[in-house]
Amino acid sequence: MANPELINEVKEHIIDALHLEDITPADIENDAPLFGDGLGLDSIDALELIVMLEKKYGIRIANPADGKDVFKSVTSIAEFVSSHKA
Amino acid sequence: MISVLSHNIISPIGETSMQNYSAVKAGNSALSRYDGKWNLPEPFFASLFSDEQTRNFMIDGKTRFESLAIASIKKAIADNLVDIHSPRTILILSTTKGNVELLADPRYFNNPEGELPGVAARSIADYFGFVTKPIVVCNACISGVAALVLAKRLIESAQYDNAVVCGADVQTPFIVSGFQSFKALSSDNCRPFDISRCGLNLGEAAATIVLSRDADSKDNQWHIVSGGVRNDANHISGPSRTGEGSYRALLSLGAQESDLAFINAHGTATLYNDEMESIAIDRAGYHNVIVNALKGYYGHTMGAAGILETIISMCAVDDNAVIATRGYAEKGVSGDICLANVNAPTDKASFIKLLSGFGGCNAALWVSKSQSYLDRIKKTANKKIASNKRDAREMPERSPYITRHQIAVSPQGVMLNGEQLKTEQTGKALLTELYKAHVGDYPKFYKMDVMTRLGFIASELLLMSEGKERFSPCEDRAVILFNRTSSLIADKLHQESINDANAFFPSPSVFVYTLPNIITGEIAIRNKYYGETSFYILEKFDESLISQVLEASFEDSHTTSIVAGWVDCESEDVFNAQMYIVEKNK
Repeated sequence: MANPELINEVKEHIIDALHLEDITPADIENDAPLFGDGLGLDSIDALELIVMLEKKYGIRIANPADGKDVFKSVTSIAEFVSSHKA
Repeated sequence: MISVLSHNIISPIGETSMQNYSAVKAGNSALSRYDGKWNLPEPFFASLFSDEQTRNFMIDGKTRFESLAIASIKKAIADNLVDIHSPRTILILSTTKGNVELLADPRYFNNPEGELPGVAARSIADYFGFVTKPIVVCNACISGVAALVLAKRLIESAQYDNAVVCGADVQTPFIVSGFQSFKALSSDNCRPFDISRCGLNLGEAAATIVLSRDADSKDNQWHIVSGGVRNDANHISGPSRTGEGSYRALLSLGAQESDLAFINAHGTATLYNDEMESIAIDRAGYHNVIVNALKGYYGHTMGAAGILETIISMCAVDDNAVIATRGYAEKGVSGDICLANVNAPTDKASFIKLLSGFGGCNAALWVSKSQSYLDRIKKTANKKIASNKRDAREMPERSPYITRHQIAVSPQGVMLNGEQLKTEQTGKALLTELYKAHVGDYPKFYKMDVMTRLGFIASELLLMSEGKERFSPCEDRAVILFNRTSSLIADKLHQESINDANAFFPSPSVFVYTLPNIITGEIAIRNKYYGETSFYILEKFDESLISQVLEASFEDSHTTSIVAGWVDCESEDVFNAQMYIVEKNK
């Protein structure tokens, strides 16, 4: 399990990278799907999350298809970050 | 009728159209892998000019981009078939990023006039002594075909007799890094329509077609029969899953399957583009026409692509041949279309050129030298041009369109239909204030760059003032915008993101807005407009030139009204939008 601090940090990075105006970390549920209805994210947002992971955590995703599992939810991103930090 | 008088291609595989065609027919390409070029962290495949080739076309005092365009135009007009110095001859330049590489030079970053496409067009026009004002077509990847469509309409509407249409782009770290951030580049030679395709290759080239009104055309002369630009109204970078815009652009041409030697598709070899095109061609009913693509020879030459690929297609039909799709082996698209990886014979005398691009735009062009077709339409076409000539010369007081509503947005405030709107903020904050006060339910607004926010909010207020029911899908309304500074703010942001090798983070959401036509796509998506979307860049604001283009835009018989105007953004605090709705004057 990713720690709550990392979860919150990831949410802040997402809000910042995707210009989610008027949304706070508390508005994003940890396990809710990021894509689809929720935040209204699209394919450019998915690519932007790849840039965010590289910029903030130094983790590279070469194939965007690999991002599909990683970007399921905030929890899955945080777990992915934790596993690469370890 | 609009006739093709002459043409030229300068690319890494040839300096004339025939050299290029011969190389393509023989299956040659200059595509190769570049490792560490321009200090980019990732390798890429591209078709680039060698240092020696570049030295051969460089002209003192001109940039690489301008020199390349000039070299191609010079060869295309060498036969003196048109009078370049005539007030009835116009230069139309098709480019996506023109002189953008100048931004990497610190001398230009703070004084970027040289980077502006309108300034480059002026520099090229002055070299030859054009006396008319050039127009830059900056419509992402469809620019080349959109430029030919514009030229055809300007001649048809009797505003000019000749047009020199040049498409050019040179590759730069700016462009390569942007496409890399989109994960759109193939790690190998591209494979259009193939099951294992994994992205596009970039290329550099210039191509020029000289068009003229020619009522007494000769046998075997090529003609632009029809052309259409349509929007997916779906997404600013992802192609429509139903091929909506390309399908509608194809239908707008009125071409019969039996007339066609082939459809030369965009065929970038990205997963989604090729799939989309196959669906559009399938929906349009062209199941038995061979579909080919030329990106496996040249890569994606961007602003040159539409013109270059039209020329190669004309040469192929002249040679009774359908060129193989280099890189294609096994069908990897779902549409019921006919693909081939070997050259094939044809006895047909016309073809369709198809393109699609960011901003949801799509363009199709029907080009023919078929005698039966010529006999069929000769009377109608000549009658139409004669009638337009009469309209233009005998009844100059009758405007071809009526302006219905107007809005002006500056950093200081808003004037809507002659009345000042009450606002408190200035500069960029004014745009957010307007969004919150009048729209509020479209969070995509916050993802837009400043210029797009400006055009978007101006269009929202304008369309609200129109008072009609909104958001019903329609194809009869176009969005046609103009400016001077192109996408300067986004260009600078993207350049800043790649300047430092230790902080090299090009962003797809910034790069996409380095195409100024995205603003027209955003308006089309918001309002479900499937009609034409076009973006033009001028050297400076010019009401009469804008009026000429809008008048010519009504040559598309589907278009009955246009959301039009000037949307220019020099910085976050210096901007100017003047937009209006114009309706066809029936």
